[in-house]
Amino acid sequence: MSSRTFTYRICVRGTLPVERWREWFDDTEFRQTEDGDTVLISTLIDQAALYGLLARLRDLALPLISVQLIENDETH
Amino acid sequence: MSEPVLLFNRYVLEHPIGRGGMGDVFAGRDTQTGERVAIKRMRRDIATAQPDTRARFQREIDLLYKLNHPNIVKILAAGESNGEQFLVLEYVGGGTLADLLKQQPQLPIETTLAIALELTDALARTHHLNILHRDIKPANVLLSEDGTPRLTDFGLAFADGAARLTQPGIALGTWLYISPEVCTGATPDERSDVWSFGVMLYQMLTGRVPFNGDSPAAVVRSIISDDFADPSHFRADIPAGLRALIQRMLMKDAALRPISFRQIGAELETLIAAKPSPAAHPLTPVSASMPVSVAIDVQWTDEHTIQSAPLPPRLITKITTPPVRARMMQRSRLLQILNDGLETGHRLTLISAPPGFGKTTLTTMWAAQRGDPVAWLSLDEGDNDPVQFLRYLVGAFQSVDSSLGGMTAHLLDSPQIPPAEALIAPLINDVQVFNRPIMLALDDYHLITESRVHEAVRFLIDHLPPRLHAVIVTREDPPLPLGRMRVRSVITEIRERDLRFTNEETTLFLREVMQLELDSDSIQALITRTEGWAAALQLVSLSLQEDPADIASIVADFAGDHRYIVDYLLTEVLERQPADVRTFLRQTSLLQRFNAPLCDAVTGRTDSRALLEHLEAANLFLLPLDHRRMWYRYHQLFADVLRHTLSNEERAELSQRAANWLDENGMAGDAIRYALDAAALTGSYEAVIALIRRHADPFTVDGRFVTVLGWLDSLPDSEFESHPDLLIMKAWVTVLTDQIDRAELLCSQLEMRFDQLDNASQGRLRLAQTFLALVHGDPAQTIDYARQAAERLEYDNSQWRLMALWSLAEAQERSEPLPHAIASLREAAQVSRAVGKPLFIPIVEIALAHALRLNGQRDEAEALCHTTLAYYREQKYTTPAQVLMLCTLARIAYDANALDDARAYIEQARATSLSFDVPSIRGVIGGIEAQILAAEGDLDGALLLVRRVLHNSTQPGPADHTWLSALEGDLLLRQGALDAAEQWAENSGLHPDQPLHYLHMEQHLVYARLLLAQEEWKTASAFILRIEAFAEQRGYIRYWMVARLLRVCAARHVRESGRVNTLLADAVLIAERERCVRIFVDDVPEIAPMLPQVRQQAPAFIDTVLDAMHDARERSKHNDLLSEREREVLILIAGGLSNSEIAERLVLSTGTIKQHINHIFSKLSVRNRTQAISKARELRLID
Repeated sequence: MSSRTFTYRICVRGTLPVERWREWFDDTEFRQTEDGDTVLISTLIDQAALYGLLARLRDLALPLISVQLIENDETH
Repeated sequence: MSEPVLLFNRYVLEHPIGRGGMGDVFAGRDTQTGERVAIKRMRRDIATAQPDTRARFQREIDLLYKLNHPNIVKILAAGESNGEQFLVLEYVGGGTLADLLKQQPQLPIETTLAIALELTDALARTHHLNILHRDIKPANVLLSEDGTPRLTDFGLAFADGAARLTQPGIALGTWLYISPEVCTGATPDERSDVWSFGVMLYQMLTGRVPFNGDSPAAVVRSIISDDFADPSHFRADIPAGLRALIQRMLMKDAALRPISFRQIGAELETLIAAKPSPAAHPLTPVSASMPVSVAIDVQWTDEHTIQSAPLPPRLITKITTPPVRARMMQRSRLLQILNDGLETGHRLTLISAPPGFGKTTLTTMWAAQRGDPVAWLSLDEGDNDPVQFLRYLVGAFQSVDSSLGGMTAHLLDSPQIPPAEALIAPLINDVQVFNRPIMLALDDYHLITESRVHEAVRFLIDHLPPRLHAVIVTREDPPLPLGRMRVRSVITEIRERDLRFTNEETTLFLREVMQLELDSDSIQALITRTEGWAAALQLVSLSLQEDPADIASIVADFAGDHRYIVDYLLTEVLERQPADVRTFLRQTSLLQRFNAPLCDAVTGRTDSRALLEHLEAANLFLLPLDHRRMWYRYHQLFADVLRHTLSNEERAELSQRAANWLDENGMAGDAIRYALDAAALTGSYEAVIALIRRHADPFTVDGRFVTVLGWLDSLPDSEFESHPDLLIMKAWVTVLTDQIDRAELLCSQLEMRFDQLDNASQGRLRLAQTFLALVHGDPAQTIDYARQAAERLEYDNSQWRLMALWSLAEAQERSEPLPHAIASLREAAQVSRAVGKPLFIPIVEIALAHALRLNGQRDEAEALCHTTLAYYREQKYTTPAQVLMLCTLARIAYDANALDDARAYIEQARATSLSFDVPSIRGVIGGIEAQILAAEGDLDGALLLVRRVLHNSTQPGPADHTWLSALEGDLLLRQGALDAAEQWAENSGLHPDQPLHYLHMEQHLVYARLLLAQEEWKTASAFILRIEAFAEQRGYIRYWMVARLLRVCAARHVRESGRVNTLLADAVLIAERERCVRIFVDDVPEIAPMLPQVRQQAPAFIDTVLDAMHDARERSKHNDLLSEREREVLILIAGGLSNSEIAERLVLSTGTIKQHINHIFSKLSVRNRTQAISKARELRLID
């Protein structure tokens, strides 16, 4: 079985406390930037997962700064 | 005129035919081609008195040269001759639209649409060249012989940029058609032509103009200030879309009218394409084709007798406008924007922003301020099922007034649910005639992801009637053409930047609403930190209120923290709550909507009611959903954060408890959603599968296929391994939702393990496969699968068995004796009552009654019709099915020569059918009416009617079409018009070797009669024997009788004479039983001399038949009494026309008319017009 995964770098305005929010976002790594923004590095299985994640951020009223595909992987 | 005037060496001026605004119009002729032309001559007196008329005349010439369009009258030549201005135009010979409207004040819908569409094309072209017509009215529309319109009289038109040729303030043209802005002296533009066109369209439909008065001043007053009467008051068959279009064309405010003739044309095209009205969903089973050739467009009506069942209480909260809370920030700045938008005519308002900005609050505030009734719909994920969405939409409108949406509700209950557009159109219609403005609010629209729901909403938005304004409240922009809507300025938008509190508003909010004593530094700090976000401001105020002593330090702490505001604040607020409140909040945070008993069930407490009251009082983000404070929801942000504090185990447990309570309390859809959540967390699907098993059938019967498919799609593939019944369910709903490829795949998977399935499952699989075979057009396979399905589902009184029997009946009818199909239909009728889908019952029973009649069981057919009609009266439905029942009764009465009864039934059918516009049904009514007319002696009238029905009705069902065509041939034969009948047979592609088809029996029989009339004895006899054998073998007794009688007629020519009496006696006995008198009169009048020989078989019946035949001959004599011309004159007399009017109409002299009338009087032995009319009616010479 092979499955493709995509890794996105998503930047939102504001500081999300990492420990509290980690389990809300599967396979996501959080980083704070110097400007006080939060970067999420998320490994997602498909586009639907990406839109789901974006909707979650929308529902938290977190202003979106950028979304970038950084890895397009074939894992085995 | 003393000598012929020759213009431009080519055109001869003949005689005057009319007078226009600027000159006289003459008939003329082109000497080169011999064709007729129309010639306009500018009058000298006008030319002298009004010097600008000459310039105007010249302009018209220039414009017509520019306007080369098939629907604009063509200019052939123009110029000066002998000092006079002439204009030579194409001659259009069918009179003007105004003339037509004098004869026929209300035109058929199809004609109106066709004429209007061609004219919009011409006007679009005109406007494209920056020319306004400025004088659109019926008198300026010429009709060619074939009825296509030509726009004429551009005398008032002027092109943009040209000097205005008329004095400002003087509105020319006919008063009745001018627009309000022109009345008040404004410069006309394209929209003024749109108005005039709207007036004309209104007139074509209703026979009257929308604004009228005794004097020009009164007309103008009416145009400027009166509302016009709903055109449907004058006729019932105007489609909703057309009414809405006219309504928009006649908006007093030009900006609200349709933007261009292109757009109007496009809408007219849609309306034309939409007929026959709502096409049923192509793949929903029963629509595939109906057994026994009865096709029904399911279109229910009579909104006044229809009330849909009340919604269960929990669901009412979905359609209740949330109460306005006591202490709220007044947002007059935004209300101003909203009200301004509405006053500018924006019918759509979009409130689009992230959560916590007060969108819903603003909307409820606005609704409360305006005071208009509100149709409120709080959407959730379940509304992605189009059927559920539409149910709630109707529910929302019915909460405003129960007269709204009744028809849509019933369409939603019908066995074949039409597409969303067809469901929304009647709702729009209802709103249109509702006399008050309504606000429709769709809250949480971002939860809609299903494109079919988006399409339905899009259709609604595109067709919003003037008094309905829609508000869409959402976190993300809906898939609507927002850019175009902004450009066209039809939308008001409130977005994040508008919703953010301004600095002043923030100050006001903190000081006045939250009553906090804050210094200006603190306020400034809060403004900076929250950026006017309502949710954050409310949260921070809550924490400040809890600890008023320490405000300064809290503010400083908050301002200095960079964490996500909500997270920070919620932590603050929650930590200040007692432990049991915190637990309660966490445990209930999973619930989208809740009441105290549900909270009790989920938390295991018993004091939820008190806690909820406390939370609401403490302003802890608890939003009441109804005015009795029964149902609540949390603010979304608050719930999200709370939910997040639960562990997976807790969430699974709580979801399952919620599911159990919801299921026990009759909210299966919600229950299954929670149970699915729980199962996804625990990986244990048993409980939810049990729920799905229990509810999948009723949900499918209800038409909520998408919901059921959604459940099944949420189950992991592995679960289907051990639950093949679920896989079958999935195959079935994929068939029903049109996903054929998926359905094929699922069926082939199931087929591989067919032997392991139990009987019922095998039956269900076969049923799904039946529909797939139908889709693929494979009749043998269809029959095979349908039979297997029906056999295997024998003990299953459900929709499954109903569908199986229905498709089996259809399959059987195609290739087996009729009694087989009848047996299946009888069972289907029983099952349909057991299934309790009331609207399915009549459909099965019509098919059954029809089949019984053809099978020679007229008594039972008649009884069945009466029972079913009684059932309707009880249920208070008015449906096309009812009309078809009445038609069957009319046919049965007609067969027995009970013409008065037949006419009474058909008139009842027509009256009933008026409330909906189903062309196929109109075809059936028209055909039966023609038969009655012919029986009354008016063969010409009958033929005319049949041809009109054949050609006018857009799409009779294929079987009806063959029947009507057979009727045409039948009437031609009865008229003795052999040539025409031969032509008819050739056009219909009939020949003696054609294969016989059960739907074409009438046509076969008429063709056999033609062969006899042609004295092709051998060919006829062979063909008749084939029909007789086919009819006998298939059990079509009704047709067998006719075939047998024809055989008897043919017998003596083909040496069958020895047995003739026996052959005839057989047919007579069955005809007696079936009371079929008319077949002797209509189909085999030449058999009369033979009847006395078999009289002893059925003396009374034979006497009746002979009487009827005698009567028919008498009637046809009367009909020959008057000449064609005399009859024409008589009809016009009955229409109340004077001698000179008749002369004008028939283009004869009054003297000739007087002569005709004298002849009529003497032939009818009467002395005056009144007597003539009543005598003619008595003799059925006229209607």
